[in-house]
Amino acid sequence: MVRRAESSGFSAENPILILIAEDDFSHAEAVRRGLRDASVRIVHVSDGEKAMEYLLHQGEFADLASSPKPDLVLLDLRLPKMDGIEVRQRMSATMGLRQIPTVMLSTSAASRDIDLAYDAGVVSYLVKPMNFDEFKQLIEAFKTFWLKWNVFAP
Amino acid sequence: MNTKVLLAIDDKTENLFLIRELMEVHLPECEVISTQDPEAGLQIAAKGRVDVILADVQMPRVDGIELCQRMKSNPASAHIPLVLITAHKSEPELKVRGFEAGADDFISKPIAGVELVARVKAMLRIKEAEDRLRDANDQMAQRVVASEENFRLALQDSAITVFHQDKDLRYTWIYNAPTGIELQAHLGRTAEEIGHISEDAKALVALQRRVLETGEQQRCRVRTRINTAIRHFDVNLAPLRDAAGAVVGVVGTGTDVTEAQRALAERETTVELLRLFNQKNDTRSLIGSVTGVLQRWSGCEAVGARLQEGDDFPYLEPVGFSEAFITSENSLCKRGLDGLLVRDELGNPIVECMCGHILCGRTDARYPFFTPHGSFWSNCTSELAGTMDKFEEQDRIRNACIREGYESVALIPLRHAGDTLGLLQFNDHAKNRFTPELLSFLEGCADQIAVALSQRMVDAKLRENENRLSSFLDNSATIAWMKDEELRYVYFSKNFGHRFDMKLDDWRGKTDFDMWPREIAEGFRINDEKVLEGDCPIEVTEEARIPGTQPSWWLSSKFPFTDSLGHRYIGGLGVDISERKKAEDALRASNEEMARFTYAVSHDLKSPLVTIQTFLGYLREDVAVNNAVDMEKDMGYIQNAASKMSSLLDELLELSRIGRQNNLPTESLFADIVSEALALVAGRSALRGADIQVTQGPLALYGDRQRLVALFQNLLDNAIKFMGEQPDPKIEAGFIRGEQDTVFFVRDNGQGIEPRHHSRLFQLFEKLDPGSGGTGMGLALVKRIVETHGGRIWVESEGSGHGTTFHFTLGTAVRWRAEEVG
Repeated sequence: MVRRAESSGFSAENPILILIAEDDFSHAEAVRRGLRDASVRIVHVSDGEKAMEYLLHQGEFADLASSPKPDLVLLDLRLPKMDGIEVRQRMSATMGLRQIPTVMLSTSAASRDIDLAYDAGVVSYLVKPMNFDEFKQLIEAFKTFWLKWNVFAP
Repeated sequence: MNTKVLLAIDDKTENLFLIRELMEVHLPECEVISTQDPEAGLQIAAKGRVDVILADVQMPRVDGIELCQRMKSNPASAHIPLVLITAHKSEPELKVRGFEAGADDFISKPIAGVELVARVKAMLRIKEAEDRLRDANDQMAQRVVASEENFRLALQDSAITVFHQDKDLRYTWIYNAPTGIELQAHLGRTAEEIGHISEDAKALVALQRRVLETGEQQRCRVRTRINTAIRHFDVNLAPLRDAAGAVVGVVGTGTDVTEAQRALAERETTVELLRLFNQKNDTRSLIGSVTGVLQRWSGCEAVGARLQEGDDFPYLEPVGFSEAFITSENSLCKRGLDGLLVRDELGNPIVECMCGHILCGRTDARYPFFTPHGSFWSNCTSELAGTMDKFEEQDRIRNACIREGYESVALIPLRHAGDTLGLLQFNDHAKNRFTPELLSFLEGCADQIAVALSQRMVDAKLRENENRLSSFLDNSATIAWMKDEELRYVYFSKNFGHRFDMKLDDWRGKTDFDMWPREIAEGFRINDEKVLEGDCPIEVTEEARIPGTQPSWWLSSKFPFTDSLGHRYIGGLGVDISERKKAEDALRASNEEMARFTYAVSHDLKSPLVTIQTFLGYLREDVAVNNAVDMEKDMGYIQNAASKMSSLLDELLELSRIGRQNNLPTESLFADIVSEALALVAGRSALRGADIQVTQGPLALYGDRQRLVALFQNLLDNAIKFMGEQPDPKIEAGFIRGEQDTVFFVRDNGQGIEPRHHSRLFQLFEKLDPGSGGTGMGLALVKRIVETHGGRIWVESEGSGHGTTFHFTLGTAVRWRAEEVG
């Protein structure tokens, strides 16, 4: 079964689950606002260790029903306790997490960061735009790509 | 010299071959018979014809000592001089045993040609003298039994004087055999009246009296003055009896043993000189001893050696000369009125006096006062001027010796391998001190001395070169070392030793693994092997570290080289670059910090701008649809971001000022600084109801008070902020006076920090808790303040729920007040 946002598999009851790891609450909120009208469910964690705990169902995320496996992970590069690169590296090293598409969303356009991110296994690296119009375009494109056309693993 | 025969006995063919080669080169007139079998050697020697024996000490079956004993116990070979060849560093005890066994001399391995020849020559000379004596004795023994005529004839050939004395011990008949003359003049005189040295004469008369009284035979040695020379006689005395057997007088013989005595003395002198040569002495002490021996032996009152020193030939350790004579005659160089050396057209200095002629080889054997060897001698200098008429160079003679009244003067050059090293001078006020035999013996001695001197000069030059090279190295800032192919140290310079507190004698033959910690030695070894394998020099940076000392960094130039024997070595020269390295490391660290800082600033400053831009966009949208709820939210985000931006900029500014822009340093009590910091965090601490303890003590801090307050304020603030769920919060600020440093601490019993986060804690914009509201700059500021005061900071926490302690030192800021806590 093709699991795509617009296919029959997704619905308001079964939305695409995005895990956002972002230490700046306002940034997470901006993304959440951008995706408000889409059929997605967003879980926000504010540091890298929390992100791993969520993915591994540890601590406060032990309940699989309330904390299901995300379909997509949006990672900030610089995160407290464990940075985004390390989170993705650990995911790549863990069965079951390796396949989850991970998008890096960062203010940094430093080539070293971009290299490290792709090496760690992100599928996409997005630089947070300073300009609101561009931000809107990015969110639209994101929705079109990830929520309309992208096919997720079953 | 008629052909001489040398018998070499050695179990090793290579040694025999070497001896044969050396003799062939240096003393071709000497025939060499060699054998590996000591028994065969004994037989060959016993057949006669052998003039000198060379035997190895170490031989299987019959060793050299035993061989020597057997050689000497056989009358047929006892008289042949025997030289034992010993290992290079033989025990003196072995030599003693050798001498006891009858060995005449020693030569040590490796055998050097000149030494071998000098020793063989000396032995041959001794043998010759002894042979002469023995022949005379033998002849006498054969003939003494012949008829009166034969007896007279026999006596004629030997050096014997026969005499009769009456009961009053007056000579009634004295017959001198060599001359065949009856010494009429002595008839009727006693032994005390015929020229014997008086003490000897007294002893002789006493003995003669004993013969008269007891009828026993007696023998003694007397010295007699004949002309000016003293001759030695062995005297045998026997009773002269009448037909009835009554003693009516004394009959006696006197054998002139002067030559034998001289041969013996020569031999002793030679042995003594050789012994001196073999000692480890420098030129000065060698010459000092040699002149002493020569003075004693020659009987000359003054003996001196002139040795080359620069252009001149001053005396070295002369004996018997007056101080005034040495002072005026010490220099041989002609000097102008200005005191400078006068030089000839070739630029050579003009060396004056007869000494100068001898040293420059300006001798002419046609004159009686020069020998073919190039020596000068005179037994009567007061009459010398007459014989000098035609000697063209006489204008340079200073005649100082003649003025001093030295009648007997001999000057013998010290020559080796064509070089004149100096000369030996023998002076005596008495006439007729010298004979041609004596001169030729002295010339032989001079040759040997020259060999020994040139060896020492070569050694000294070598040592001087070595010393010069090592002081060159020792005085430079560069350390030097040398290892062999097995990477064992063979040398390191003194400054290397000082730098690492090592003595070369302790470390020679050891490797880096004996000297340094394993990982350091391993680093050296890798580089050394690179040099050996690549056979080319390398330049590397190496760390040297001895446990318990500061590590140092060296720019090492390492290179392979091979000595003349083909051994390979690694040389090393090292320059201390610790300071440079430290500066480079500091620069690197500062560059890295700068890069981190720029990166962090760009990221963290951009972040609130992104928020502002984004929510301004949303605000505009919300205004368009008049969504008041969201408008309020949007403005809230914008406001938060703007104030965050503002405090970020404030703290960044503050951070950049620390260490750059300081307030004037002042001294404040520790307690006052902490109180001020506490006042600034008071609101928050009251909120948490924390119990705060501050260590008291006579400690003041000298520095930028405002920053020191900020330091404690930040740490206290953190302690309160991260108190967690602790129901009984406690905070302690204090110090511990250690041996080297005073360590400050701020301790809490709050939520703690997992050890895995410790390393990132002090980095800029690092926040462990994004919800805590800080900018992530507090600890970066704290670290900066500590470092500008010359201290360091570290954190201890066992993790969640175990509290946190920040430790730090403040270097030069710490001031202990005189009064101690009671």
